[in-house]
Amino acid sequence: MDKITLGSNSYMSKLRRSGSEFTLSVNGETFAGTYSKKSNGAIEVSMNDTNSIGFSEKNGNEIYVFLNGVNYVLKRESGVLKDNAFEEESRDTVLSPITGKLLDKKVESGDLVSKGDVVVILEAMKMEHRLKAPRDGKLSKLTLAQIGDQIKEGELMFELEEE
Amino acid sequence: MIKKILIANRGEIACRIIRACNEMSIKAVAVYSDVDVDSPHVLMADQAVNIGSANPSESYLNFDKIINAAKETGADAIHPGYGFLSENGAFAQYVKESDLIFIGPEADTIKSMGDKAESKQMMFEAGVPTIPGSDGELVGNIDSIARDIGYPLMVKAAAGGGGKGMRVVRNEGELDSSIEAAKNEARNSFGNDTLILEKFLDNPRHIEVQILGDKNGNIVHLYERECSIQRRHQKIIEESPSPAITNKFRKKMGEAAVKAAKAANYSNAGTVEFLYQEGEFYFLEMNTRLQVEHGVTEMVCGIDIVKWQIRVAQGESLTFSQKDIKQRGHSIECRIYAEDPSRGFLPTPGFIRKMILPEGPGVRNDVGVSEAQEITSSYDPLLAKLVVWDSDRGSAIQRMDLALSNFVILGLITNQPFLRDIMKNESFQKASFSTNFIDENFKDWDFPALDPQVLALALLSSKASQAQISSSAESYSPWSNNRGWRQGV
Repeated sequence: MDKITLGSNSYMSKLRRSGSEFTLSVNGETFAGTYSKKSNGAIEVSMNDTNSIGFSEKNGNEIYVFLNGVNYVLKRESGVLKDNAFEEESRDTVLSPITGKLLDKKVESGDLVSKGDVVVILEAMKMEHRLKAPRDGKLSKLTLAQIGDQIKEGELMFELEEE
Repeated sequence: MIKKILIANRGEIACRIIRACNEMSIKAVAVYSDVDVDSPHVLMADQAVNIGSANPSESYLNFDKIINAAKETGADAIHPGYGFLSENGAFAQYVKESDLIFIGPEADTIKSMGDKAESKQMMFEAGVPTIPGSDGELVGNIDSIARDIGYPLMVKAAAGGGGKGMRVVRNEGELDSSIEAAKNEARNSFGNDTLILEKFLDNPRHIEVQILGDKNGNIVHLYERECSIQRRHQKIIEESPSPAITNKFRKKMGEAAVKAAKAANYSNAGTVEFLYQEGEFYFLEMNTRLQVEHGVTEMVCGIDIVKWQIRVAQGESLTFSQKDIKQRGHSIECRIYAEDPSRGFLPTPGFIRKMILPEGPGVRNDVGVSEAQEITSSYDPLLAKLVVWDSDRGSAIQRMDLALSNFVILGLITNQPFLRDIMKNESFQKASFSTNFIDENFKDWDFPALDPQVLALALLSSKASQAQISSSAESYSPWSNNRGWRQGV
């Protein structure tokens, strides 16, 4: 089973091929279809009596798709056995939403913060991004990156002590 | 006569200017930072000079490196594009003192218009309507100045532009933190943290007028652009004409813009920005440079603004007067950004694995990136400008949606699906909007639920097809014959 995510929606999907035919199951529903590859790298997919030609490319855990006039970047988690990956992201951990530069740290590890307090300021593509405390609490962890350091998307920026 | 122009910029605008040079048989010199070594503007130019590291202050903002590159390549003029040094009066002056032609207005004009406080005062004195606010630079008791103007208000970088260093302050409690944030952004973006306060108009349209003047005192306007569709105070869709105003009002606004330009002793291309609300318009600022969205004006007026910038800079007079300039049909621009509209328009750097541009009658692409290019977080996330023209607004919207639906870009998140949703939005189609349009209509926008066909296609992508696509991408590249040469500085 693959879990495919776009925005706030996730799809538990599995595709089985046999020659030019495939069966796709999505969240328990099954579809049958056929496909063929074109010389320019495009793929034609026929399903539910509709034919569409698009492009699709994989890279790591991302799949890039263009179909019916829309470009998508999908996240893929392979080999998910059951639907357990929908757990809520912990509100106590704040990750960097962007790749950019650390501009400022407003507090120190161990400090008490109130909901909405700016903890860390990042900059990417000349825009500032302020990461704020999601609730009142004590800062148990703060990024060790120095001001001016590069920060990657998904990097831990700070953590609040358990309530 | 100008024989060789150095373009002190990167991305799509550098490419746009190089094209104008090519058409005028003028040699074009590109400059580039280390990360831009294989960028389209470098490969398109006749010559290219490396001017340093990715950090703009070491390269695209560095006076000496740019002037040295111009001297070393024998350029006789510098075109600054937009952003970077385009509105830096000290740079314009330095260019002139280095016996080079600056393609833009006089340094003094840039300086006075670049100071939002000074420019506003100048416009007020010239009889151009202005927004109530702090008189000049913000000094003294800020709390009481803010109370006098009344909330909501806007804190702005005096040296600002492009939405940077700007914050809306809804109430007194937000004042201090907004001022601090605006100061930081202003310092980082413009190297100057002077701020001004202004009354915040709550439901305005942003309408601007294109100006073109020569060095012999002739100034005309090329009509208006409607630029109300913005996110984070930055435009994403622009059009000309504005669907909001009557011909009578259009004339009044154009005349006010010419008056503003004359007050500033203006030559070359520039833009007078106005806010429009309930039948009144107010001077917002004057941009003393080529505007990102100049293309829509070129489409409806049939005048190549960049070529005229070059002609005017070498002393030529305009060959047309106001009565010769007509708006014909309707043009719309969509800015394709590397950003995620489902997450507050956060920039989304990445690698362009595949790109196919839309074609067809009335479709123009101003693009500064190519396949197999890394989009880094060092610069503005603008990838391309898609511009369409058609006989009327409805047809232009339809053409834009079709063009967007043929814009293939794989490898990073862009706002392409979001722009398509705007084209289909009823308020947009009816032209019933203000600068709050995106907040009001698309606040919690998310990517659409996936059709099973998309999932099938996603899971059908294989390693083999990936190799096939990336190898075919190279043979598509128009840059296989690099006719220029490069050197380091």
